[in-house]
Amino acid sequence: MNTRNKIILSLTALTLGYILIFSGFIYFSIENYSYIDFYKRLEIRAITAAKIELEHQQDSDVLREIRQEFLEKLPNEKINIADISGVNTQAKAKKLGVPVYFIEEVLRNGKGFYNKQNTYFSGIRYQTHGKDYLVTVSAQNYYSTHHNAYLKNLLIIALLISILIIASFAYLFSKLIFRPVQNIIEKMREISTENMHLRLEVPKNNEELRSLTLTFNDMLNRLETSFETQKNFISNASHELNTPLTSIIGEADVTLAKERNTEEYKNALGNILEDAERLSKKTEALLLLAHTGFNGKVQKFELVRIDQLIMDAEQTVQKIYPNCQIHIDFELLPETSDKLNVSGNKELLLLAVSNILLNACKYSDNQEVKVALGVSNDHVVIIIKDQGIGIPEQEMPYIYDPFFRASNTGNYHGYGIGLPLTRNVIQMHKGVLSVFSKENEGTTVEIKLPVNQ
Amino acid sequence: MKNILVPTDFTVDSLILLKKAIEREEEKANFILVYGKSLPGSISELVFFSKGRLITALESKSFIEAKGILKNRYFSRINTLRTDIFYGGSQGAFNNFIQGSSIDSAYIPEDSKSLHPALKKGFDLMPYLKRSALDLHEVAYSNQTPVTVEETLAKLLIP
Repeated sequence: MNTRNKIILSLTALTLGYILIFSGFIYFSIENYSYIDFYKRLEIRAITAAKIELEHQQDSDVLREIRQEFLEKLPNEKINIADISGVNTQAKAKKLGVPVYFIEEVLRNGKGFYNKQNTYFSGIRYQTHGKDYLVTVSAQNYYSTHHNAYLKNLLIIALLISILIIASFAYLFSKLIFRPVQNIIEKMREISTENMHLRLEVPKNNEELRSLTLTFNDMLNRLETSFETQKNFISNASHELNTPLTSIIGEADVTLAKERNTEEYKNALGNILEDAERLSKKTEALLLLAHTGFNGKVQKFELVRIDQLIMDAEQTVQKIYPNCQIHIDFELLPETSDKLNVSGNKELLLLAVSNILLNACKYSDNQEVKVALGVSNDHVVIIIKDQGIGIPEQEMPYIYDPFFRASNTGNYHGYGIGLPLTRNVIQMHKGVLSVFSKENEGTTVEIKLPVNQ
Repeated sequence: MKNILVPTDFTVDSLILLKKAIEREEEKANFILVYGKSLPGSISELVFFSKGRLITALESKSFIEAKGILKNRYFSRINTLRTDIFYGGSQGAFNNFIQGSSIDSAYIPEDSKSLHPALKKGFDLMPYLKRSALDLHEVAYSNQTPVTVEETLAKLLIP
């Protein structure tokens, strides 16, 4: 069931339930009230009848007038006055056609009520001139049969009509609510791989939908970038692999063109070997990248002390760039060391951290590289900050593309595989790698890894 | 135990003040980060107003992360670290606020324009702090350029 129908149903059910309770309450209160009212009418008639029949002539004349003038005759009204002094209640009950408990109740309390189907009985005990009388009045309750039935029908019809009204309101309401969502869905359908540049229109006055469309647009941006990456990868890779191959072929071609002496052959073979080694390094790096990519393979994870890891990475980097000034700042290390443990693969993590550190040293021409470590409640945060050449802002979306190298890296040797490799490793450890950079000012890399709890 | 007030603007940078305050305090203490923000003006917003929700909305992920780093680093020095919001607009209200939280001293930046509460639509606490009877400690901290987009933990970790 879709959300729209759900809204219509639940809204209708909710309002219906409320109306049901409401009208039920009214119906039963009115019914109860009409019973009580009817019994009271019967009681008044019983009292007046008793007075008229049993009291002095003078009083009863006045009362008879009053009765004729003000007390209308009820449907099927029957008045019965009986002397009950010394008479068996059971015999009396049989004679009047009422149950024994009714008579007993009247005798006990002075008055009593009872109904048989639609005929209502009211009885009082009347004592005068030293005699005990039982006065019963019975009549049909016109109100219960007619008024209450009318009320019942009225409420049921009103209920049916309100179902229609509420359902149509809920329908309109949900339509109103979902129209923008529907619009977004239609727009999203239009966007496919052919027209990835299209973006959703951002609504101005709907906060939730605004953030939804913004998120969609953001996602589309990222999708577009990764699509481009995919497209570029093959051409980049073949170009990267082709360059050393062309140079090998060229070298061999030139050497084989005519007879050469041993020295020249040696030289040529040396060049070919150098190119072949470069090619092999590239393919190795590519293989590693493929291995660390998300392929669902479970790596062997162990507990790794992250401060130790950073020291190891620094030593590795110092061997390659002996002039690099790496400054490690452990000032914000936590007081308890158990939070420094990260569950991960030590070799891969070392590769990732030293890759970043190598980049920092390579692109900053022996300027100071700062490394800091901090541990929050959930993450180990490693910051590596250099004062090197930075990354141009418009090239930031492509830094994770394999073989991509920023436009200002011409003077530095590299393949463009380090950063994507590092990101793969960090993602494998459920961490986050963020790079902040300003051209010519430096780059800050932030690695967040989840703490082993 | 002392209660220490540290003004904040919910940027990672401003936590440097807190870090310096913790370092300057010799004993374990309670630290309170305080931000100035007026209550919403409309009645409907006031009905659904909650301080907790406001603070959650103001604190960015990196800010929480940075607080966590400081808490772990100075585990034995921080008794409690909480965030509070001052709504009032007068010196009297501020004095009441200080009394209510029984604050003993406050750390403020030397350069009083270093905090940028306007970024998250708050107001500056500096004038109130300076006119209050609190014991004020000035800390060397200056940040004239407010952070614009991304927030890195770098500034806290690498001074």
